[in-house]
Amino acid sequence: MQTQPDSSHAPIAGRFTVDIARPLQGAGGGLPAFAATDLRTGRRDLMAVAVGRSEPARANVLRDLNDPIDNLLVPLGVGSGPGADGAQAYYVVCPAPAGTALGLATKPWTEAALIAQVLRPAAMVLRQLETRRLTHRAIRPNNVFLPEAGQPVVFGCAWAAPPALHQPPAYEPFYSLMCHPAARGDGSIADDVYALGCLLIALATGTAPLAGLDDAAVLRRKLELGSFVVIVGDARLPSMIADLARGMLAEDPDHRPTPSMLLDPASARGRRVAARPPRRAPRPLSVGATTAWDARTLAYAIGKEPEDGVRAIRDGSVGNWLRRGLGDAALCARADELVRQRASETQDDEARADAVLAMRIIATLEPLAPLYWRGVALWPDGLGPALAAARAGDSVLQERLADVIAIEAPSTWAAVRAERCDALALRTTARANQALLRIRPPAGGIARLTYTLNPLLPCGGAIGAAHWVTSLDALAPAMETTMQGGGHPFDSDLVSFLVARVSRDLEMEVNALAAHHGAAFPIMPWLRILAQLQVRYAPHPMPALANWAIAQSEPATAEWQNRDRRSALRETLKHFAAEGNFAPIIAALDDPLGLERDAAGATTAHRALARIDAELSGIALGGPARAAVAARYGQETTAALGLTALAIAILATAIG
Amino acid sequence: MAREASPPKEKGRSIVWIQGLACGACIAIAPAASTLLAVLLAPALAILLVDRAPGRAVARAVLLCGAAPCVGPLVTLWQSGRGAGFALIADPSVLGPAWAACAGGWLLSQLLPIGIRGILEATSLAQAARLRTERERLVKDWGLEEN
Repeated sequence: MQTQPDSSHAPIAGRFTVDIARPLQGAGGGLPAFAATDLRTGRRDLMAVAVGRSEPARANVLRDLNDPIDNLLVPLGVGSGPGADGAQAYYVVCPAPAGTALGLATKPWTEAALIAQVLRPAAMVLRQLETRRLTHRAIRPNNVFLPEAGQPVVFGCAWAAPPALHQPPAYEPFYSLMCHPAARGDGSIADDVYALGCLLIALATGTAPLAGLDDAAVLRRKLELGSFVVIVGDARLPSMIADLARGMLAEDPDHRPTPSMLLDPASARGRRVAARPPRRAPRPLSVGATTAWDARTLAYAIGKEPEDGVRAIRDGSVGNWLRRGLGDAALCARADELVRQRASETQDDEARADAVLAMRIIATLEPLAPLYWRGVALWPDGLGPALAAARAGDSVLQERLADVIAIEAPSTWAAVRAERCDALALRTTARANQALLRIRPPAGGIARLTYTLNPLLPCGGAIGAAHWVTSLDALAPAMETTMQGGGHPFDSDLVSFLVARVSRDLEMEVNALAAHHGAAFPIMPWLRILAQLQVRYAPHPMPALANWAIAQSEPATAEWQNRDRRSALRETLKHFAAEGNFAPIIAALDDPLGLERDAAGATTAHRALARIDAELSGIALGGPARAAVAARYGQETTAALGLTALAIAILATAIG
Repeated sequence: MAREASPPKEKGRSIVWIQGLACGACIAIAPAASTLLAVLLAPALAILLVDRAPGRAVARAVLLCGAAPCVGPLVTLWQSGRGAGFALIADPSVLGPAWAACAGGWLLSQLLPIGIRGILEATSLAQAARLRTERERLVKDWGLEEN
């Protein structure tokens, strides 16, 4: 069956078409995938993986991963296309995997096959990604494909959703599992090594590890027993695989072998990292419903139930348990120092201060743990996808994340575990985010931050109902269609989107728009933005938007005081609106010199009217004056006539 | 110390006295001519007595109009001697034009103001009409009465 391009949608990235009538089962690694065609080359072995509206694609990977990598489905293009429900959808196009996903095969693999077909190709792929400072974060059986028996496996598309969002819990290390699924961040290549280790075990045993358990249960077991023990369970592994997997499933990412090491499995299996086992207390400490036997579990317990955790910290239970139970005086001293610091700080918001204390204590107890804030755990670089997930309706999560940003929690968190992260970079980012949050919406605030931190998040509001707009190029046509459909696209969500996506040359107009905080935005900035969008990206008529703009510009038109000019302007604007072009409308409306002349004319007209009224009044009241003048002139004229007659008589007598 | 200026009323009285004195002198020097003039200008003199308007414009106009026909009889009197005075007064061809001129002067002084007022009123009406048209145009062009 030949893929037919859908004529109502522009090709993705100008070259790929999606055939939504041909879904590719299992090709998207858990995400819906459809057959795609490259119009430029005629290549048909492509797929378009659908992106979730609240789960934006990975912009950094799509930007930086441009060249092909063997055994990896690299992205070829990204853009909106036809959706299954008639609305627009967003796709990441990449080569369609040949063969089937490993998750569908249950037969155990041999050690040699695992090394040759899985480990070495995976190591090559991960090394390539590592050199580009990228991660895969979607290594799982349903996203790794075997083209043919005996061939190396191919790693699937991991770019159409936030990192590790769809990972089964067994494939993520404990610190990633602690996080909100959307807030796991890009992580490091060591996290891919962890997932690869888990995959090797799953293939070696022919079973899905920890199947049927939810994230919390798997996390709990990993914290209690360690990842390798939990994932392997009672299964017997080939010795080479067991040795490799033990290293790859180390809890500390620094202890895992690098992809380069994995290229030589024989030496990688012999690598022993002297990881100190976590110190275990002879008696547990209960925090809420969680029982902690070691510092890591205690950190998890405090993070999971922060109120109980802070209570335990402040009443000394945690300190006593650390000193007497766990026997870690240094850790206890650091925790006590944080408690004293909290007591010495005068805080207006006690609850917030307690949350900061909990965050610091958790980072002290387990430096590998993510940032915990009032029960929500996130990795700082997962803040963007977490905000996108919260926008879908999770107001509690959104409130927590806003708190994290408002108090620069990543800076505080990084300062406690400076040896584990780039504290300076985190502080810089946290301050930038806080500055954006402080700006009054729609120029700032949570909506603006969400769009800024998620470059591929589609615009919400009225436009988002039927369109998938991630950049300015598709914005104006989507607004026109929304307007034609009876919607009103000019909402604050759109302004936040514009502020986040705007290019430098449009900043002034967008800022003028964003500076307005009421329900109705000023029309001239809108017109200028629409004109620029039309000129740059969509040079076709937009009569619905133009007519709306004309209706909104009535106050600007009414500024013209000369009736004839005003009527002529209205007629001109109607004409331009029918043509659907914004630039002439702006030229007609934005005429300061004309307005100045008009105002001067109006002033002159006012003066002339006053003069005329005075003259008319003078005429109306001037009857007696005119009578007096008439009498005077009449009598003077008579006298003059008499004098003339006298003179003539005298002259006539004298002459003759 | 500067001498205070005489009030206008005092000055008017002085002029009246001077005029009276001049008239008396004329009567004394030329009684026949004075009598002839008094008879010929009797209507104008009567109006002069009746007219109380400032400046006595009507009386002045009637006097000037009536004076023109008096020139001929005065010259005749001068050439004929004193005895011709009464003959001239009794001559209707002398008295008639003089009184008619006085009457014409009075009539003109009454009719001309009416005529001039008519012209002034017509001019004012035309100007008011032009101003109203101009006003309507301004109001229409600039919507001034809306503001």
